[in-house]
Amino acid sequence: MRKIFLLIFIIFISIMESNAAIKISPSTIEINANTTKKDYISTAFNVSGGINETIRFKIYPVFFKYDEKGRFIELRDNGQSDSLMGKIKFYPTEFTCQKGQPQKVRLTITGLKTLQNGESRLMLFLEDVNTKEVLLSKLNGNIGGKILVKTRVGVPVYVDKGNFTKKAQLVSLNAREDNGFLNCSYKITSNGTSKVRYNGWGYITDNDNNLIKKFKVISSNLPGGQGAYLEKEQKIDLKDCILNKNQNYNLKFVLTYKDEQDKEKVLKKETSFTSNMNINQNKI
Amino acid sequence: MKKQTLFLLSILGLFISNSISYSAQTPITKLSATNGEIKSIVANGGQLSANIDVNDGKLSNALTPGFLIVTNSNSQKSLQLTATCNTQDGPVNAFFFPLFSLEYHYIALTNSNVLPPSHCVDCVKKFNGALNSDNNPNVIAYRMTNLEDIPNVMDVRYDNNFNRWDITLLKRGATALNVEIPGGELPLTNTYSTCDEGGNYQATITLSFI
Amino acid sequence: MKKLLMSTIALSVIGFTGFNDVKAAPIASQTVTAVLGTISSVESYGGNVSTTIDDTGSLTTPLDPGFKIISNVGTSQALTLTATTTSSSGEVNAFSSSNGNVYIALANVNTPPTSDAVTNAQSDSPVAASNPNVICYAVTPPTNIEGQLEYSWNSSGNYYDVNLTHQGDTITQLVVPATSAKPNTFNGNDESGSYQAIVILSYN
Repeated sequence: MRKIFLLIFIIFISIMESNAAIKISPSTIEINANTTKKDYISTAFNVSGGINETIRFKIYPVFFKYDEKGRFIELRDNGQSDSLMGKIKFYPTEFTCQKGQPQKVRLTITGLKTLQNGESRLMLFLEDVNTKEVLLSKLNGNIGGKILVKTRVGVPVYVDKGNFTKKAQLVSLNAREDNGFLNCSYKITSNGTSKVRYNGWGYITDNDNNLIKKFKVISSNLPGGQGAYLEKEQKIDLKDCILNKNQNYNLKFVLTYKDEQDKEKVLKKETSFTSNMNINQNKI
Repeated sequence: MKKQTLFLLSILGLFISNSISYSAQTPITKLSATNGEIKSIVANGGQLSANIDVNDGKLSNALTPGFLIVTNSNSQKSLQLTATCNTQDGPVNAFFFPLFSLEYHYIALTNSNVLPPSHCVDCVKKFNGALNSDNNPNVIAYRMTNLEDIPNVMDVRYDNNFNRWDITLLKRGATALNVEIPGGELPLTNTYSTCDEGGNYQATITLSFI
Repeated sequence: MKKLLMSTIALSVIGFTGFNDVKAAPIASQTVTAVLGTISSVESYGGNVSTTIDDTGSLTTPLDPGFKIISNVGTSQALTLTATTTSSSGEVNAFSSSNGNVYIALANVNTPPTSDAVTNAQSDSPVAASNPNVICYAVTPPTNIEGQLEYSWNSSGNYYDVNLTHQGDTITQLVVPATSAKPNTFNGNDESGSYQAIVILSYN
């Protein structure tokens, strides 16, 4: 080795100190273009940084989608019919927030008449211009090193226009008990043109229809568009239940969502599972 | 001449007889209408909506639902002011007066978009206040301005057993009553956090004669 | 006429009484509504650590930058944990995966490596002479928090997808443990200078 290298990584952050904070409210922008006859529509959201910080933000748009697992996918803008890229103006594009004071960001969607019927979207990202440089020191004067920590928050912007529809189906539900946990998996599909936000409850019952456990199904947004679907999994702790080994039990999902008329729709699916072990039998 | 006189006399006589006949055929009739006791309450405006600051839970403005009480009775009348907030288990009492509070009464607002279970409202009402913000998601509690006696108009008393206001109305006519949840104040400690999902936080306040 | 007069009076009395009945509701309610919006926030939050590298290239203590995610949104949320480092051609992905492990590449800021050097260091079989000024260290798979936060490695994009299903504050961190550098990414060809990577938690 020609040189003795000494790389130093030091992060000086106390456990209570917060830095490079970005806070946005509301966290999602949903616009109904049918509420105006104009060719544009405007709205706003608030941005703030940490209470003890001065942060400079920059804003930039990105086209995106969420995949079947609900993961964010950045997409290249190719003028897709459901993209709002090129149709959004926002102000300011860069600004400074001091001591947690909020800044209002105003945005205008233009060219409403050219939007497709159904849903269009993009993500507005807010990013700290100055990354938080972690304080480092050099030892023996040789080499210093840096780790920079950065945060950014995106605001999804959705615009519904024309005869948009919100339709969902709960097509499958499976359950498997594994070591005191119930692994639930389900598939929910959409054939509407606008995203659907669903939530609901799961019910575990025995063969006599006695309720063993009720739990909240984790809510998600199901993208709009033909063929859109989500495949979700949820693990339920059965340690507060009494189950018998090799006995059959039932799982029922009752999900609800609001359609384009703001009317509540209900999705139901039922399945069964066998307990592979005695759970809490000493409680009998 | 005689014929003219007779004619005039007959006309006069006819007039008199008609007059006499009116008096004789239409007896004096006493008209009476019984006016019952009126006890009426109507909603009387006020500021019914506000925004909640996402950073600290403060209301953007005071909530001041108003009522107009109308009665034509001179005797004292009893009324009750109650409040409910909705939960997964149905409406529950929204008024409470925790023991740690020396003076102020509180009202719980629940998320009408994501109803909490009733035990979350119970957590907020504990005698020493909410112990932590994790056990009461989608419930936020605010201080109320206490109702006060108004001399010769109304006496008020908070019923600790039923957590409601008992009001004795002392005058007849129209009396306005406004309830106030002040704006710009922090919610009750440990009742607001980011565990509270976005939505419309509501309570329904009812004034009734009893 | 008498009948007409009496009828009129009677109707007036009835009408007056009926009018009072419609107005005299002894109860009224008002609903107050306070609207709470949604909030999304992410910030850097604590972390360790000071460390040194000995002359074998091993970190002597781990690094663990932390993040705090704040949300009151009831639906599951998508985040990404990415990392970049600077090559002579610009920013490149600092995360990579080889032989079943995830690594983070730190590049010399004073003498940036070529993008080919970074690619070599990130490959399954790096050659020390071909990756000067870039050193890779293994990353511990981030810890899932049951029912709150779940990480999954995105092998096509070389970053972590993060699924948040919790309202309130969620604390998480990335850990670079105190281990030796990835074989054949540290040697005498790594010049003196400041070695750097940027770790980004993005709320999407």
